Amino acid sequence: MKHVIKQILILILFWGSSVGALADPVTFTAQAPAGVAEGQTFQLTYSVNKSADNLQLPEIKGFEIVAGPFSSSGSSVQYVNGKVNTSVYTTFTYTLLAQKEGVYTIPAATVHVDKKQHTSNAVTIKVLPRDAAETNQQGRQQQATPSSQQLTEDNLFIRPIVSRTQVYEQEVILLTYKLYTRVDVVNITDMKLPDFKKFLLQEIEINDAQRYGVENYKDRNYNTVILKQTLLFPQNVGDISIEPMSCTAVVRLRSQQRGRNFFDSFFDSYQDVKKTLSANRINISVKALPKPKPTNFSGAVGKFSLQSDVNATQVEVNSPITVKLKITGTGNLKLLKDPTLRLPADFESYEPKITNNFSVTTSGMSGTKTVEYLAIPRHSGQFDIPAVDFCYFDLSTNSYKTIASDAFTIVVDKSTSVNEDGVVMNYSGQEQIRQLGNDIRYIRTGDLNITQAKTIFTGSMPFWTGYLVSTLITLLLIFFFQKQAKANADMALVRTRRANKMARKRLRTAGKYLKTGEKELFYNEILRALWGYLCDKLTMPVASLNKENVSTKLAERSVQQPMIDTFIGLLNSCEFERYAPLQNSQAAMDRIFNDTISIISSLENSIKK
Amino acid sequence: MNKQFLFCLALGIASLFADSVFAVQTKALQAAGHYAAKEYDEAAQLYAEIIEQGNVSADLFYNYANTCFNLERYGEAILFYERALVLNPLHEDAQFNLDFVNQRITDKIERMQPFFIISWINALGLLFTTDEWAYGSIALFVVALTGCLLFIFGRYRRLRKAAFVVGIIAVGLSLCAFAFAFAQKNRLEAHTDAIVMVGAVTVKSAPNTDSADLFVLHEGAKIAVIQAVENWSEIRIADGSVGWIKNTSFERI
Repeated sequence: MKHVIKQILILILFWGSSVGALADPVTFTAQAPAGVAEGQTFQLTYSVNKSADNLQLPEIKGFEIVAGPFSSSGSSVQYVNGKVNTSVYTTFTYTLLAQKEGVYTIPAATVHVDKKQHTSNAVTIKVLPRDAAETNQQGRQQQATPSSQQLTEDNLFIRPIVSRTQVYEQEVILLTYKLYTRVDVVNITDMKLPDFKKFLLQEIEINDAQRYGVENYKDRNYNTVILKQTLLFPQNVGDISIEPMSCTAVVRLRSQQRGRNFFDSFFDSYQDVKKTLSANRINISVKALPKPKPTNFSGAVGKFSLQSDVNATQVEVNSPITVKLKITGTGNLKLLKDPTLRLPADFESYEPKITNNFSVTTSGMSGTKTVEYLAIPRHSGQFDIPAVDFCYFDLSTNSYKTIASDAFTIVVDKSTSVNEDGVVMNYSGQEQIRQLGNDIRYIRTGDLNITQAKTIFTGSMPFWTGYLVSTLITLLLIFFFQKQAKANADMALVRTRRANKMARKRLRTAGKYLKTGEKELFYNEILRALWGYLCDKLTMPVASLNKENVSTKLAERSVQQPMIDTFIGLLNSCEFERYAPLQNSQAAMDRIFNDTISIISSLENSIKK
Repeated sequence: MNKQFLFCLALGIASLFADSVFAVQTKALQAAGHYAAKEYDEAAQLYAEIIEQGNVSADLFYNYANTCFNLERYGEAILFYERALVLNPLHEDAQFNLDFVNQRITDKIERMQPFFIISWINALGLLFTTDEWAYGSIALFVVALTGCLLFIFGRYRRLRKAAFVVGIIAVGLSLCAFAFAFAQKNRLEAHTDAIVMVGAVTVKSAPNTDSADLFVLHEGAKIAVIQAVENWSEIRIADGSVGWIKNTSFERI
């Protein structure tokens, strides 16, 4: 029983392994050299990793099947760490003759594996023209991959190939150092590349299929090997010459000595020869980018597109947002300035994360540069993320182009989330108002109060006139007022003066009447003199004076009572004498005349102003 | 006939005046629109036309200066900020922008800070315009004269005393106002300050091209003109250095 189980186990194991072999995908590939010369034969091989039959060849144009198919098959079994690997292969080989120069494609062939049809790949073959030298020699050398016996300049050289020699600054140049050989090169050593001082260098990785080829150059067919392929981005303007590169090739030559002994005719003897090769100098003229350069020029030269993307346009406070700027294109991607996004100043923002995904091909450097910004809004509100301008020099139109990304509006809502501690996330610390930038202030709008230029009042004629006129008016007023005051003062004086004068005048008249003895007129004059004098002296109108108030008025003027009594007595006696028919009237008149003079003179002295 | 003609003439002049005022307003509005649309060339042209017509206004000069700044014509911008400040020394925006532009220009000349009392007095003087000071001075003079009259002719002792005090104070104030009025007038009319308008100019030691080079001034530098000889002017910069430059290289404020 135990034995049976063991057997079954072994069976399963083998079955499993065979299933594993079956499970391997079928690969059916066609192989042929990339290039052949006209009139040359070559082998086209179809290989399958299984046992196969019934190969159906497509119609092959441009080639003649000289021989084939020769099919061969084989199998191998490998034990690795106790594991059995069985591999089976089948190959079909045709020998074809290249009939005419050109590029031909052999379409896919089909084959049957386990009664299932499989399709191979198509093969492209370049048929080079007949070698000029060989045609002359009537095809003595049948192979396009010759191994000539002489080492001449024609048989082995390096050629530098540049994609263009007239470029703009930063415009890509493809530089290839290609080895052309008609001899058997065993090895290349001591490769000395020039220092590409004024260029930014970008090596191109090449695989073997790309590295080796055949080429017809100057009517001769060569095997070619790409020694070095790089992209150059000129960093300086002007004529730049690239120093020659050099290397040493080890060439295996068939020995020229023949027939030394019998075996030499069967076994060729070979000799390794070293030869130093050097490529030519290359001159490249680099043009400056046209001026004026836009101020926002990013330094990018080529063709680009810009996309922007935001993960959310409506977020809560404190939840982060990411804004991606993606520059896609071909050109000097490595050198372009990162576009800067102006995030709202209130956002907490971090250094952008820059991801470069560039691929280098013979046509230049292309790829994507992604700039990713992370920002955390700390306050609610509506914020604008403006568009980003990206200015580059477009080589297809030879002009500067500005492309802009989309602008976004982010709505930040108040946070409703309460974190686990039951504390509402809230940054409520007070902040200083931050100055974000400097610019001039905006123009004044509205009424500008525009007026015509006017003359200044200060120091003008009216200005001085103002002072002058006011001074003159004041002076006039002073003069006037002073005069007025003086006049007022004078009037009393004049009146008192006039009182004396009038009294004297009347007394003189009275004196005349005294002499003539006209009694009535005399007394009349005396009374008028007394009353008039008093009126003038007291500056009172005649009508308001009578015997009754005379004494009080005089007393007010501090006239002594005896004098007042004398005055009143005199008035009374005057009135009495005037109508009294007295005999001795002349004597009375004399007495009254004298009394009047004496009383007026004494009043003159005693009445105060 | 004659009366009718005069009436027509008056009407014509009035309408012409109103028309031009209206036109200027419209132009200013248009220019502001261009400025807002960042079409600075057009805005500058319109403002320049308004200014050429002999119109003055601190705000107008300020706006023109802003436009020039945006066109990177820094010399002109500084010139017109300064002109705006001459008209209105308390124009805060013009002062701010002038300081801003002065940081952009090549020459950094240390300005001497005047003694604080002097700057206070200057600030006091800027409270009113020269004409306001002049009218004030005359009014105070009249008050003083009235005081004088009252003092001489007042009937009562107390009135006379008060009139004396008022009169003396009024005379003092009138003199101060007089001084301020002339200080302001001088500031407006002196035109001694100027702005370098060319990219760079070499200041010479004498008014001819053969003389020694002293120093180089760049666009936007403020200079004071001391005297002029034919087409050369002797200038002094804020740090006190003196030299000669050609009249074509600067513009007086």
